[in-house]
Amino acid sequence: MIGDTGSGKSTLLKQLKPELALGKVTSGELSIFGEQPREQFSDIAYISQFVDNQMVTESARDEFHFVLENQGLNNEQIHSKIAEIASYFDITDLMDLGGNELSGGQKQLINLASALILNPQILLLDEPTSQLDPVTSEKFMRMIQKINQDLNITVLLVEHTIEHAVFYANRLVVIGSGTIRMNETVDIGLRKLFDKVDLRNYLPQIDRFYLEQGMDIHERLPLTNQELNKLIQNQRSEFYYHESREISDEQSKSILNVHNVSFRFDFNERNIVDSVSFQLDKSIAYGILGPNGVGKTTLLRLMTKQLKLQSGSVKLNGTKLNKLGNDFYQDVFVLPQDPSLLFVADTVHDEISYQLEQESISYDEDKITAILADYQLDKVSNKSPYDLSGGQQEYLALAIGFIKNPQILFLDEPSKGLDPNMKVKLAEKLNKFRANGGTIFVNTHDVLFASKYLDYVSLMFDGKLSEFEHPREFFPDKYFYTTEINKAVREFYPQALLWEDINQNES
Amino acid sequence: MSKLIRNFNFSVNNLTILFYVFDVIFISLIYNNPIISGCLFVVLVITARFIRGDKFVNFLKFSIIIFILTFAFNVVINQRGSQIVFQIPFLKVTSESVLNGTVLGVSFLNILWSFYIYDAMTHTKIIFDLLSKFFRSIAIIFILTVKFIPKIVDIFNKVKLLYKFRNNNAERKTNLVELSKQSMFLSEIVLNKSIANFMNMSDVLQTKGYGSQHRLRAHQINRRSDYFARTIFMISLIFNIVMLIKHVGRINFGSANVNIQFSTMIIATTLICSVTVIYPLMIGGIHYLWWKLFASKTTVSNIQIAKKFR
Repeated sequence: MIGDTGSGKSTLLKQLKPELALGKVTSGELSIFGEQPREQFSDIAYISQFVDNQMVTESARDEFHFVLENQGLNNEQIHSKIAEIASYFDITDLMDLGGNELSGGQKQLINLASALILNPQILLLDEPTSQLDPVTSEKFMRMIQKINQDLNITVLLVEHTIEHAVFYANRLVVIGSGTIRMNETVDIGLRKLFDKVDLRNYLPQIDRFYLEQGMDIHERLPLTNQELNKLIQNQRSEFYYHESREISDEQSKSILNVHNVSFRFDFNERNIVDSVSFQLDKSIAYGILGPNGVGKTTLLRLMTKQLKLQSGSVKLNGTKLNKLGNDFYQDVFVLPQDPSLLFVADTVHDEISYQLEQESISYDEDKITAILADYQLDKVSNKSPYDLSGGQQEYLALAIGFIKNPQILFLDEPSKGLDPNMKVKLAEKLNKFRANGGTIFVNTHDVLFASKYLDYVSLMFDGKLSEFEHPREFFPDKYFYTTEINKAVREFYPQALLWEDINQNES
Repeated sequence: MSKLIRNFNFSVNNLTILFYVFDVIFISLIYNNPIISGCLFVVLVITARFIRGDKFVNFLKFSIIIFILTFAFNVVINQRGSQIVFQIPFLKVTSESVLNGTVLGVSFLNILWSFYIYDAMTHTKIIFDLLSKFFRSIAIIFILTVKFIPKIVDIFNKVKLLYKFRNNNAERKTNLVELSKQSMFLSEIVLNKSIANFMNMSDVLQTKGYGSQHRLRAHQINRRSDYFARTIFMISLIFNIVMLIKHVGRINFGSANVNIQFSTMIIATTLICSVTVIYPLMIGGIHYLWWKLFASKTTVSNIQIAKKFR
């Protein structure tokens, strides 16, 4: 199930799990298993996007016990259920590990296991991979497919990016403004997405390329990378590589210098950030990619004085951060992974007016309405910011950041929770900010976003950071951490990253 | 956690672990005889090192600071005694006050270290199981409190830092009224965010079936090792209660004439308390030696595939 941010996907999903349903059904009828909804928790399992917030106890073993004890199962039944689920998910080694010893992917796997331990018939997933890196999220999706096929469990998955999910889904549902706009098989659904201009950005890159090029061979969608590779191979003479992004090699002034920064959280731990050095230039957008837990957020927090430096130095415009005092906070803005941490007011409207006041910008109601409309928040103006969807919260936080207009914008996973159209708008705003002299530093899992909109990217692993390179040079080197188009056609066009990079000869 | 302690944890159930930590806390609370306290301190620190090595150094530093503060505070407050070590205006340091300060400091450290052990050995589910047998609502409140206190602290710290990026006047307030206003404002923000987190947890509890009508049951499988360990802990507990009633192992703290007892009972108490505290290490050690010297040699092949299977 896909749809615009805030279109009601999560609300609908929760209606299907009666215990979680918010409000009351005002019209129409909802029946589950041919009956009225009732407290039937074990038949419908639900997993949310909040990876860290879904465990009540401290370890997988305790969590399984908690769920099963709530069902009044006896010792023997509990033992056999846990044995089954642990072997099926191959998590026997993770059973006794605490929350801080598990990676994001492992946690979400445990959440999935504890949801399935009661043999549900329906599994509801609300953006389960939004906080996972691409490799982990692909593994997670494979597990969902296994569950669907092995156990015959119906899966309803809400996602913004369907690059991987299309391969495992049978049907594609599109929600828009609270109504179902489309409900088709994946093949037809993908073609219909292409027919509707406002939905084209939802298409996986491979299928977008296939449909944009109007290839005359009729293939069943979605196409795999291998299938696209074969198609190109057969019609190679018809295509050529064309760099769709203009690259400016113009040198600009250095604004932030990071020199030999290392950091660890505990005495006996390895460095989570290990001798990292680089510099950020004015008006450039930088991005760091890497799996969960490699130190990306820690590095960002060190650069923004949210953590104290243990060794090395960070200089803004040639001055060390500790010498800048509170002036530093005027020059930068941070969008954290959880954007709600930034909110200080009771309504969306007040958040905007608060920031305008802070920046001493004169404003009236019209100005606030215009800003809200620009960020598609005008309809939720009087709502509490905590009641917004994940994507809307992200957008509100970005609006606050752009009002502040700092020298450097630090964004931690800015595309998380945004639908593809909102990502395009975000990119436009970032481009405008950069054109006005702003520098952008982004931590992201979104390979497509990085390749399309950032100027320089780097990969972080084990606390070390690789050289910043232009996406065109960075991604062709990578085997897994690259775009699907690159994986599919790198044999012929090593630098092609986006569907727009391959054009058809007019002849 | 060292392999010896992990082995002990595997050999007993949660209830036995609860018996152990309760016994350790009780022991560290009731004695202040320097001989018992000193020995207890040594075994507590050794056991703590094996139970949770990663936070040991930091906690050791923290406990040293606490000891110095307690000692210094006691020396300043309690200036009784006749044997003067040194004297300056307003401060008379006597050997009795030094002894009192040391006794208080070590006793305090013992309590701290026993809670360090408690924290490392128990997890929420153990306490939840115990409480849920009698008070279901309190059990869930306990589990949520344990989960949310660190979370709220974390939210507070993050909000405090991130607020600076939004508020152009942050941290420039110097007068007390302005500062307290800012703190109140921050607290309100944190409260709002915490409520959002609580709501999310409420959904999670629903999905985990907490609201279902089924009876919550804590399942414990008792093995021989559980009965044996609990017997040891019970004997130790009863012994310590008797000692407490008989005032053995306690000194007349704070007096000008600190009378330190040294008798067979003190030695017996020291021994029993030390064995109780170090019990997990002993059991883990015995199992390890049995495995190393006997079981692994006779029953287990060391080829790679056998190791992996094992």
